[in-house]
Amino acid sequence: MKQAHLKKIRVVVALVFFLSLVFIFLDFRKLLPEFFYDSITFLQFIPSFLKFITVFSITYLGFIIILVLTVLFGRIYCSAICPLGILQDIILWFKKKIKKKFRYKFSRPLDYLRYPFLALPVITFLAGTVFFIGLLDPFSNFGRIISNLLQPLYIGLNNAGAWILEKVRIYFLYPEEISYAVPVTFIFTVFILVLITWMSLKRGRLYCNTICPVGTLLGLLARISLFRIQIIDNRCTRCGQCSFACKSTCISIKDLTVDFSRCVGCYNCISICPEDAIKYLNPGKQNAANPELDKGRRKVIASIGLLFTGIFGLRKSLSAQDVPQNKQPTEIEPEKHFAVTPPGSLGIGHYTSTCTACHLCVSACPTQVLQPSFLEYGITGLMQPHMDYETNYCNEECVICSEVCPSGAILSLSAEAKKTVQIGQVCLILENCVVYTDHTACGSCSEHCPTQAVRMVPFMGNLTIPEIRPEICVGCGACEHACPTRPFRAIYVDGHYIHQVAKKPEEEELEQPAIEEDFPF
Amino acid sequence: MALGSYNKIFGGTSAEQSYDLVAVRGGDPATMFDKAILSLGGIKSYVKPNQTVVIKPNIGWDGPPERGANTNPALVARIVEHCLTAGAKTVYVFDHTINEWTRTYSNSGIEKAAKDAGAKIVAGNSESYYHQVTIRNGRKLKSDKVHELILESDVFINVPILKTHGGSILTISMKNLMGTNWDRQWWHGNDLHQCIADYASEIKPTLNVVDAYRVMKRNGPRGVSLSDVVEMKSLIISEDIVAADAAAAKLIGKEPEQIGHIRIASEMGVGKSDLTGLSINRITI
Repeated sequence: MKQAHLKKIRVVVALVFFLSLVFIFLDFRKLLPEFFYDSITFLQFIPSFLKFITVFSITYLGFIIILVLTVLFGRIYCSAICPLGILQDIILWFKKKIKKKFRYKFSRPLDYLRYPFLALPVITFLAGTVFFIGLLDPFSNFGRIISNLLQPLYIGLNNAGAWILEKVRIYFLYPEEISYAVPVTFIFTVFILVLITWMSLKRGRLYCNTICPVGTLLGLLARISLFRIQIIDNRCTRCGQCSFACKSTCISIKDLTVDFSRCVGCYNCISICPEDAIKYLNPGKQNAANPELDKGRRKVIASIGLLFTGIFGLRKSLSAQDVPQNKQPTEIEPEKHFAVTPPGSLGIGHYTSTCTACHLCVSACPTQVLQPSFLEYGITGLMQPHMDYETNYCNEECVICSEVCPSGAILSLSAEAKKTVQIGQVCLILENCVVYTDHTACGSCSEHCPTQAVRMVPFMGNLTIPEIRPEICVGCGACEHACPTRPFRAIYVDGHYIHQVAKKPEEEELEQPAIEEDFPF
Repeated sequence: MALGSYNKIFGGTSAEQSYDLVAVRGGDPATMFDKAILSLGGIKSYVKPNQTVVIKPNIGWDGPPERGANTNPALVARIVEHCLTAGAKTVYVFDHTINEWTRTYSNSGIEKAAKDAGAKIVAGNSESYYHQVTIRNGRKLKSDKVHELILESDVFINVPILKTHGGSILTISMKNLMGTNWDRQWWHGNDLHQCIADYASEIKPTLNVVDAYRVMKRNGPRGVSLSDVVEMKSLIISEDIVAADAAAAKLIGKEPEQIGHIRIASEMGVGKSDLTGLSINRITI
């Protein structure tokens, strides 16, 4: 195969990944089946890594494939798979359309920035928080951009279409509630979008080579890649075309070198070179007698191996420490002790230490009960979604968030299993209840309750009043959402630090009526 | 096509149409509806060629038909077929669901059944579909936002399912109207029974068809499991919404007077809760 074709292949693959990922973050109708979500997020480095160390299943080996690919061919991930990288390429493509004569210029790597930006999430992760990974992960940043900035526009467009069609009584499209991200999520997302746009317009893939920890990590591996893009000295005419086309600004014509740790594998250089003088070569063969390189390679492999061993070891001991912090079920106070995490997330401990706040679940949740948090989980849980019963409640039969979550923060759960997962418990303040205060019928809480953990019992005359059975409550929040009293609701769900098992509601058989009986009227 | 109008003109074959209420038991939902509507002179007594029809089943909850929380899909489909046979231009089916509507429409089985029968399924999830209406005789509920299809369609067929209800004791035809309006929560906070009766005094279905095939005897309106449901295999049909509810209440073993909104609606003259003076056709299959 001619290497000049590499760029075309890369562009096609990149567009497939990019468009698919944009769509799953936009789609509020959940038009695509679960396996599509799984396959399209399979190769996303950070989510795949987190899911793998959580569930330990070969189904989530995507990040290993990326590591192997990098050891073979360098950072293919960055231009063909990473949606944030491809987004920058799209920005740069537009720039090129406008400024046709634009040329990149070789620059030195900013090691004083890129290594700290790699060390920060790694060290804090070992210390037990996924906070900085979430802030810096390119997939999650991309997700937040589409979910928080583009999805409202998409829904708005859909609603405009629905509104026009409704005028002629066509109901093919239907309007959907637009939920706007909490300010801090919005501001951070806009900041990242502005930052990557500015940096890419300024100097190509600068973000990927200074701030992105995945880029820097894969860059370390790319130093030892089996095949690397190199300049062939005796063919090169020093025309400089490759360097001018290099988005990573990593080709030095002066030294005839390619800094492969910064190369994002866009293949602009290969396709532009008129002399076929820059291409993938196997440096091992060329420099078989170079002991320096082999030494460096061994060092990198050893340190990366050490890193992973450390991560697995520490993570295990951490999860063991998490256990005994749950509140007593009997401690019912009219206040919320914990935010509620979605079913399948096991509890606040597991969830907040695994979720990178990519907001794919927020985009996909049909009731929009999953909303980005502010300080519900504390500062390190910023932007991680929580169950917001002000907005809506969790649908009993639905497990979409557990199907789409790419990082393993919300683990796969069957609809049947979900019915006994208790994510929080119901609390009742009778003094706030409209039946108690106004002596008028209501029953809204009990009506919405899927387990009858809230049931209506005789009160005065023909009136009924709610009574709770927290042991069979699943914590879905339907009662809290439906309660009509304001400013304070009479019924609410307090989250569990660790999810519990809800007892099954008891089932007594009812007597089947005999059809032969006459009508009672 | 014009058979219906001829029947009206000559009045000849319409002896059967004098029933105030028809109750059927012992058949499947579709057959029971066939028998009941025949004894009211057929659907052509209500649906004229080229008219638009809106059918409002109970599609409140995300669950399968066996749970008895939503109207039987076979019954909805049968009503759609009757309307289309009578020459209806369009038959719409919608509800303002309680659970997330796309899942509820689909898992209730009603979306598929109604579509296959030729109806158009319409969303009820957006406030933009609902328009302000004055409740002229409302005591508590003075105005409310009502779905445009209810306001515009020529024929409105109300198809509730009979269930127990934690707040309103029972939910039948009048309670099923809660789902043609936008803000249900206000009713709950402001004397539920009175609001139900007030609304029924203004928004009047052409016909009420009460599905009592599978009946939720406890834990209503949503139910916890299959064990809450008994097979009563019955159906009640009446133009008088209060009479339909009174008969259905008796079917499940409650006195109409015990149910606040049935008692109030009767007092307000919305319909008759006393069944003794009514001409009732009782059919056992």
